[in-house]
Amino acid sequence: MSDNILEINDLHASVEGKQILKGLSLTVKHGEVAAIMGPNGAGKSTLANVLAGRPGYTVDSGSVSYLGQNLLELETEERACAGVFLAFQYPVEIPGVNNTYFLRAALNAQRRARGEEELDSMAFLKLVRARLKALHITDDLLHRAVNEGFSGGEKKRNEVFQMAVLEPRLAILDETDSGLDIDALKIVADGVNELRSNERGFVVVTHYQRLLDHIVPDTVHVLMDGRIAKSGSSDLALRLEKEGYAWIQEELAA
Amino acid sequence: MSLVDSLLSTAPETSAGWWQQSRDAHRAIVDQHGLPDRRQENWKYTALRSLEGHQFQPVEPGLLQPEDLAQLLETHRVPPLAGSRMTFVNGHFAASLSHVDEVVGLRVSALSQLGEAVPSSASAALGAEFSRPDEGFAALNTLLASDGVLLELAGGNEPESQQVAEAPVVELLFVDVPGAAPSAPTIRNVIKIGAGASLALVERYVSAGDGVALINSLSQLELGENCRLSHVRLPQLGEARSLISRLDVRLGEASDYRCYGLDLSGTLVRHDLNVALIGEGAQASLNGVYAPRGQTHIDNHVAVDHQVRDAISSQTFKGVLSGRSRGVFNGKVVVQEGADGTDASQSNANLLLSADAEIDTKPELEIYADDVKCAHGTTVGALSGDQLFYLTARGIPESEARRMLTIGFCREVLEGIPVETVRDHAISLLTDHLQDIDA
Repeated sequence: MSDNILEINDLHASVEGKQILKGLSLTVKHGEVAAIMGPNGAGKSTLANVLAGRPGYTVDSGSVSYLGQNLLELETEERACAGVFLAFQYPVEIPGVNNTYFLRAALNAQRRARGEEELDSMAFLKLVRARLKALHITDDLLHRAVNEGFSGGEKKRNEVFQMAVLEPRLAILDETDSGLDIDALKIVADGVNELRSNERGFVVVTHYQRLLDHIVPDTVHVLMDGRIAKSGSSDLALRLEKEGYAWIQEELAA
Repeated sequence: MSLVDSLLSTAPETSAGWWQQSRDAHRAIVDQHGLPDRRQENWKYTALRSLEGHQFQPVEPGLLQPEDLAQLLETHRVPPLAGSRMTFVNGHFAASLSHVDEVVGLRVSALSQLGEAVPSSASAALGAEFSRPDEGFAALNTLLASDGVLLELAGGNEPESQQVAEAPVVELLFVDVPGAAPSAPTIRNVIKIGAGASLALVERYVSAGDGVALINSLSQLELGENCRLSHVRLPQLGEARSLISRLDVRLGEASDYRCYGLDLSGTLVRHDLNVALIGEGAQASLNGVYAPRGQTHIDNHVAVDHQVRDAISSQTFKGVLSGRSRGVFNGKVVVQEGADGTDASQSNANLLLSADAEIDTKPELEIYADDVKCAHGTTVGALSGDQLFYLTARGIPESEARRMLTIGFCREVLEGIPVETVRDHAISLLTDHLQDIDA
């Protein structure tokens, strides 16, 4: 089996007829944390949404192989059941749907799809308590409706908590740091670090370097105008923080 | 025979002296106006066609043994509720199926038990005149009412220390067990909550068998100063049952009235909810969920009258319509001259699940004061694509996600019900009802 959990090859994708991804290629290995950085409008969120299967995002050409299977053939829920997880940039509020009920429905749907037995509410609660403890977060989120009235920090915490319960193979974090103060950022980053393992790959989409102080990536990729313009180690993120993106543009032009 | 004549033919031959005068007066009104029709603005979207063609017969008290009732309630999954219960079978009080708890200041009786002695406090309500051309059913109610509840709760409870959730509970249980012929059980309730008192009222309708019945229910509620009433209405109607119900509510100073309705079934359901805010600082929270399927028609007409300053009212109604069903929501707010500081809000949101379903929704605002806050919003649409993606992106199959969102859309309203047992029951009725829906 390949070392790669994710192989994206020459991916072209558009939203409402506008081409956003223009030949993007990227590989992520098992256990790797790959950071995707880039200026606004470069296509970072589009990449995250295309991988998760959001309706309205059209793949025009190229391929995405996830654990050896064609990811683009799968429905949104099939991708989730296969172990792909998107931590949303803007988690949506769903009044009337209890957070615990929702998460149990999600976990059991995934277990069913994998041919595993569903968890009853006792077993589920036990799992939830264990995950909360590992992430050092309190259980007040459990009793509320999904994201309803949550602060920005609570919403992102809820995303990481769901990730911990669902245990994906590939986690895509879409600007998880946006709108967070430093304390909330640390809680979220600690959660992600807790979940790092050789079995799991991460694609961390971020606009700012500061998240990468807390989640130290293995690789950093700069996404500009729909394709990866430069790749490097975590040092690359530091240089981008200092010097911005203009020098990459110049390098490309040279 | 017309519908009105068919209903009039079921009138009792004799009645208590205190009814007679009012009944005679309303007979004249009904003879003059008949029943409302679609030419009247308030009945524009609700036709009585589905009620016509039946030969209604006078209702028999109906024999129901306690074990029969227990079984019926089990079929309807009605949970046992701590508190008092007044049971009426086919519109007639059933003492053997009722019990009233000892609660300080609480007096509950059936109108049929009063004999010739009507307390003066109730005579105004029972003698009220309904003479507008579009209130034929209220006039008819006065003519035909066979029984009902007279409930008085005297004040004296400390409002500060008593939460609504801990208030005494009274359940009004209306069972209809029609015979072979169509029947029209007619019920009149008078409820008076004295200053400072709190009560939780649960109004249930339970149908046995498949026969045709038209239930006409009229309740007059009066809340004194500083009192709290939560009122949950759960009609669990059989398919061939129709319900025409009217609530007239008067809210005294700083009183707090919260009403929750859940309508899922029946042939024709019409609620007129008339709330007058007559004391400063009164609050009314009026909430409803309707989820008709098949050919069910559900009409909620709400009219809130802000007569004084600084009163608050809110209307929150949500509908999920499928099949060939029809929904109507008409929410009226009147802010009278001088009713400054009024805060009135209204929202009606609908999900249409089928191309053949229909909703007619109309806000009506009449504002004669200057310093008021009035908000209203109406939506008719489909589920949110963002919410749907959020659920499917976690692995939940789309059909299940749609169901979860549809249930959640309505459930949010019912979560405000203060009595936990009743709240859970309402939510499970809703969940079961929508479980197999094709959202």
